Amino acid sequence: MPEVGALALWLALLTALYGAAMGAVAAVGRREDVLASARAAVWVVAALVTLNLGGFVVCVGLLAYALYSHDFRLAFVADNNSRETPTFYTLVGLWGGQAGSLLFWTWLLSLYTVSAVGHRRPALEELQPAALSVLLAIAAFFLLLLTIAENPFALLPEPVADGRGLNPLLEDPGMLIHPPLLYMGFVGFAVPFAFAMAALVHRRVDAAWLSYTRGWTLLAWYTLGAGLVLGGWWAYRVLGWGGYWGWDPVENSALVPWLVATALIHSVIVQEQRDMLKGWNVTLVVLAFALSVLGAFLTRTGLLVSVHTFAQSGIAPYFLGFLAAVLVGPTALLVWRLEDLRARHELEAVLSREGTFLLNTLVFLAAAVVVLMGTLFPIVTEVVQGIRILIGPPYFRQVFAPIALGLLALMGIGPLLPWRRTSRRVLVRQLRWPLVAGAGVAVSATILGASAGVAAAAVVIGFTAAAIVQEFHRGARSRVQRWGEPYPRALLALLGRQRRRYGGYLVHAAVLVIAVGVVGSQAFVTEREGVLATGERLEVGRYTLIYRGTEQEPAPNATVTIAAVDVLNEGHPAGRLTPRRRYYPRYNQPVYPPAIRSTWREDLYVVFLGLVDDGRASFRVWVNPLVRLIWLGGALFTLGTLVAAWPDRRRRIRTAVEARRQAVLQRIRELDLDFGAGKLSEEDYRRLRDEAVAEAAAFLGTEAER
Amino acid sequence: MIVLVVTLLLTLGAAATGPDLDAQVRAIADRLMCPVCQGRTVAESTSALAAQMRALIREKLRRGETAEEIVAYFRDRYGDTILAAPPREGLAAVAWALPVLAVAIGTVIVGWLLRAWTRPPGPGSTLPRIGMLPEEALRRVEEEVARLESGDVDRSGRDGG
Repeated sequence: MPEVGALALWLALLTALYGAAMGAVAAVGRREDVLASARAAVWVVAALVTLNLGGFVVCVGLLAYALYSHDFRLAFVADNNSRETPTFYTLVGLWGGQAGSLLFWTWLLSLYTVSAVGHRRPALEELQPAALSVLLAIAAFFLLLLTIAENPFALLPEPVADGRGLNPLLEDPGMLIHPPLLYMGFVGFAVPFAFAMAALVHRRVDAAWLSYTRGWTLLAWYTLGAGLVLGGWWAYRVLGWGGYWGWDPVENSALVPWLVATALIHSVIVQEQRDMLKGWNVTLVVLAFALSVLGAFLTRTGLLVSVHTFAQSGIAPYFLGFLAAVLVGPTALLVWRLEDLRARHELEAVLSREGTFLLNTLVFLAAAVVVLMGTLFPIVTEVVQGIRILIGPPYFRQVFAPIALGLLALMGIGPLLPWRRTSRRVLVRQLRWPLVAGAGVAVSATILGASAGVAAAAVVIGFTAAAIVQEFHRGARSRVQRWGEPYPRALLALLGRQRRRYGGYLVHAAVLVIAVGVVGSQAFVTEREGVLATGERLEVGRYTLIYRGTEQEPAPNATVTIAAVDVLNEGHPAGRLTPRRRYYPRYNQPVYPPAIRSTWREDLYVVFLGLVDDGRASFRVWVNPLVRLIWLGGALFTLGTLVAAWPDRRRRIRTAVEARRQAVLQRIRELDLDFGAGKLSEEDYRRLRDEAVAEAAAFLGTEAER
Repeated sequence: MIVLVVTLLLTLGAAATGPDLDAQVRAIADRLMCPVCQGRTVAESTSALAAQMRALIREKLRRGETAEEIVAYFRDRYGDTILAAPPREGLAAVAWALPVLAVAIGTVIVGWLLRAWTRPPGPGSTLPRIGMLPEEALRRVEEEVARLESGDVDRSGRDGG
């Protein structure tokens, strides 16, 4: 079985190289027959990798179910599994280890490749061969790692009696979902990247590649974002330090591409609406992919030692080479095609939606740069000075908070401004209520005794919340006036008819909900430590905890001590909490899963650290306000993305011409909508609409001639 | 959204009490990295050493030492690597300067682009003027827009939901 697996990986590597070469030939020579052969290679690679992964899972699975002889000869199994590992978590071992992660990663990439270039798509006929070539080249790199450096089927010289087992921190349901989501995000940017390269090669940096890759970008962006939220949820429920985000290098290396991708999905809108920023969009796609590769590199090579880095190996040089290729190749291509990227750069006024979009791109990039530099800084100082100067959470909080506030403010302002330019009257009408709301919230916060930082956050949150409500309200009111719909139906119709815009606003609302949760839980946390004898009490805010004693719980691979704690909420009984201390002898590692009493107002978060020498019990207790809002925000983020990305049958793009046609018509719709919502003066509306209609008419005219 | 803001305000009100000893301990512990963990501050860490350090901070605060004195004490004993945020001196100061520099460079770039791209609306457009287009073409555009709005798939009237 191991030999078959290794052979299959070699075959997949050769097929991928062959397909990449054939794709390049087909792209240059426009040869249908060669393209068919390259496309076959795409399917073969996917099939081989799938079989391989399947075989691998079976190998690992057989051990887990103990149906097979306990063959701890497979190095990977010995490293990531043991006879004590609970069956349910055997799968987690797949991404707990190096080779397993890479194999899983390659498998995702091969599936994405099949879905993106495995079939002929009329709209992208011209771009597909080159994109196929790029995607298979990327797959070939990962297959190279799997065959030369990290063979998942590598055998140990001597079978060992038992494996090392899975890291106990990973024994959590969250770990079944969180890593695959992050990988889906990392891998997902490969498809937009490949099509961007193809668009540059074929000098077709227009609406078509953008419309097609929008879905892929959204998928990667969403899975990465959801992975981050789930990672926070896992940390909060498992690690027992009272928080959900530790500015851990591994979290950071997923956050950085997410920030760049967020800049991208906004900047794409400007190209669609105004034919601007073509070069920026290609650059952002390249950056998002390169940073994903860097994220994988940092995560998988153990260069940054952190709680997540469970795997370390010698694949670093390969990754560095690949990273260099991903940066140098596209840069050369960009410079070569600079002439094509000169877009219709006309900005009528800085105070316009495209103006705020530009600023938004800058601030997102600044945020990404700051997080990236903070993450890499210890490595740099180690190289330069020989000591690792640590960059801990306080640094990130201080540097990131002002940038995040800036982004939240832009999130409020941007949608309120119309395209092109904003007249003074419109500006006043649009900003009046949000500003009043922001000021009101800030004044109330100050009266209630908030610090300057919290008051600043309150202004921005109040302003942006009001701006989002106003957008929904004015949009719906405009529909009521124009179509005579009842108000509630008009609200729903906004989500149905202008999915991208109002789905986007839902995501904005989600970000705001998360922001409130973060501010609440960071600024107003209460924490107590106490060592209690049975019957003793600990006061934490409104709560009183009474320690009732401990008992042991049987577990296959750990010693589990459960502490019983009765909770009084303002003197009234509020149930019993049972925090645990799980000690894993194999790892000499204790884990402190907290007991959490969660309400919308706050979480009571109790950690049992163990018994001290005289038999008393040691506890740490947090009261974390508003943490639930963060998870609610995660759900709203999902809903908003679904609304924005839901395929629209009316707007399905079949050809490049169709994409262009949709774009010119959509511009007129946007103008109507903005005018209806009061964002345009009568004069500007007439002028811009005449211009847009003229352009559309000219376009439809040339289309009819074809 | 309104509920959200009100919730935040209520929380503000509930939490707006003066900094007690626990909060002070937490604030100081948050400025120190736990020496035996990876990437956790003393405030966050569940390790025994971090618990001892928090107890020591509490003890020192009771004795009337200031936050700066306490941090300096730990810095003397463990070196610069104990500091959670790098000191604003020496090589580490670069960590503080870089974000400012990044934002400054970005602002210059965007300011330059805005200047270069800003152009007042004028007759420079190469597009056909609306008056020069046939009535028929304009009507067609309006039909297409209305169809997008009402949700018909095409003229055969298939429902587009």
